[in-house]
Amino acid sequence: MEKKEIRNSETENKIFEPLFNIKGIENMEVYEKHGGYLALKKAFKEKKSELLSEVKNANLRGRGGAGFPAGIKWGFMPEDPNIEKYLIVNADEGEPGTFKDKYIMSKIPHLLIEGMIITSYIVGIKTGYIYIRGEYENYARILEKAIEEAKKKRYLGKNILGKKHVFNIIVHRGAGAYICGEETALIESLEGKRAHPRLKPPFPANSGLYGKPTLINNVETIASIPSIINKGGFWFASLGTQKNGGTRLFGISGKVKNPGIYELPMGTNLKDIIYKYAGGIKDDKELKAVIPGGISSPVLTPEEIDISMDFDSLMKAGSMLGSGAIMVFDEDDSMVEVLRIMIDFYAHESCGQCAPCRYGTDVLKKMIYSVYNKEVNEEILDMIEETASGIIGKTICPFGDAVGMAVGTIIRKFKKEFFDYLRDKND
Amino acid sequence: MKFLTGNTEKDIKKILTQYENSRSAILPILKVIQEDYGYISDEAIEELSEILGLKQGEIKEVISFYTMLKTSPEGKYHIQICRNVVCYLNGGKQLIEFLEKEYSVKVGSFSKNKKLSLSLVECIGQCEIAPAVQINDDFYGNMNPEKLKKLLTSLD
Ligand SMILES: Cc1cc2nc3c(=O)[nH]c(=O)nc-3n(C[C@H](O)[C@H](O)[C@H](O)COP(=O)(O)O)c2cc1C
Ligand code: SF4
Ligand code: FES
Repeated sequence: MEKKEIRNSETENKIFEPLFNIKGIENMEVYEKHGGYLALKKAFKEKKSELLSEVKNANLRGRGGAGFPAGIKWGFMPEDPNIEKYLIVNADEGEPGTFKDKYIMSKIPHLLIEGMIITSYIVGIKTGYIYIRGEYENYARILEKAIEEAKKKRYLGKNILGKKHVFNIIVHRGAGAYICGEETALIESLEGKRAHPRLKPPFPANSGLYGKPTLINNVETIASIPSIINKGGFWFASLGTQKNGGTRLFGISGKVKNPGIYELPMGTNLKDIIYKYAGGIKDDKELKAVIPGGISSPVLTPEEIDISMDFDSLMKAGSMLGSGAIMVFDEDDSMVEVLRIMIDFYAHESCGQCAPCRYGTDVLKKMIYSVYNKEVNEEILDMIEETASGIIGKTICPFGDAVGMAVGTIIRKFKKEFFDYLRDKND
Repeated sequence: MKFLTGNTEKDIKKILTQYENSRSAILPILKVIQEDYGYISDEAIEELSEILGLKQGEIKEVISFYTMLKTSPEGKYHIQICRNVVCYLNGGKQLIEFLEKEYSVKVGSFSKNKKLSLSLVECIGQCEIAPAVQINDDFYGNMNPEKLKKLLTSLD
């Protein structure tokens, strides 16, 4: 990976950024020199129920996209130590615009591993998988090296820190399919099948991998755990907003002066992220649109970006915080082109299992290309909107809803641009 | 005649010990085969079906689902250009046009000496250094046609 500097150093109340900047921290020795594995040692001296309360107090909401409170999800896992359970870390990072988990895995792999061991201890799990997208082979190797180091230190394996606890981690590589990021599709894939999402319920906490209770969390979620154990759940909660604890790794890309990763408190204003932290719009052009949380989150117009970046505020605004992947578009970027790329992506990545999604993405693709090629008049725009919203609520997994929302919103909010594009047939 | 031999066979055995359910080992095994032989051949599928106790059709169904798995040979260097929004709008379009027009590589096909193969892919998690290109396991960011040309010349 090419180095993109991690900017701004109000490091006091940050979890990841101070560690990103330490040279060699991917190695055990350096990680431990900077306080690594102290949270693990602390956790192993405390009661599991108290540790779970800390995670609940932290208001840590899942960083994979949906923002479900981690403590509550953990609470759904059966307590009975005799029931076999699994932990899966979702490192599929396929949502276009998203590149945050790679920073954790490649720069501070031990933070993720430490988080996994603590999680396994609290929930009573013996086996953990890191499901990492196949393209991330180099980061998978970094993780495996760190796991070997942790085994040597006896942080993994049997009798961890002299306790009865057993825990092992397997790095499992995907092979190129976006839908594997959806948790039940991921489980199918890990079972060696095509990644077709399962109907829920049952939820993975009841019946997941091999039909056993399974806890699935995103990389950033699990890597937040050591800081919660070290400094306390309430400390973590205090970093963010009332219902959104902690900081967030915002990845910003597109037409900004300084694209990259920024760790900022949950609830940081989107306008500030773009103008204060990322340096504003490249070449001082006019801002046209912002996608705030990965390509599946509905687009915002420049008038809508004065908004708190937390799960609830974005939901209220009709979009999603999603993976915290902010994509910025300027006056030169054609929304027609953006929609064309979006539908290519969706049509390519639909797993094909449910008809509304499979046919919907196909039909949308044909319609959108007819716009792109200026073969139709503007009446088709309403049909596209209708077709898109027709998918919502009718599919097995949220992919279908995402297609419907993202496509519909872009047409609705940029209708004038689409009109002009179609009228100007010589362009 | 045995097809999967030597190191490949050893690696497959090792992978199988990692998983409690042998079917879960299918993706890692297919990747080892692809790494060692360049692609996944019918012979490999036949033998793997015995190893995993799966029908050949079941294995083929899995292979066809995942874009990284190939049933025909690729170039020694597989060049993947991201076509998703951030890359495309920030120089990726020019990379694709450059390769199609000025270089002898066409999407999906080989360069003259069959060393290079090319495909367009969805976001590869390098949007902050758009436009991004992946060659085998490595990522290259902030690309432009000249840089890409230099890079490709150094490989070819
Ligand atoms: C189509 C689709 C793709 C997803 N991709 C990812 C992904 O790449 N990484 C991820 O962590 N979660 C992804 N998710 C969310 C997961 O299904 C799941 O909610 C998450 O892994 C739970 O972890 P968390 O609670 O820590 O966020 C995706 C969901 C959907 C519907
Ligand atoms: S909504 Fe689409 S991606 Fe999800 S299960 Fe149905 S067909 Fe597959
Ligand atoms: S859009 Fe190209 S790497 Fe993300």
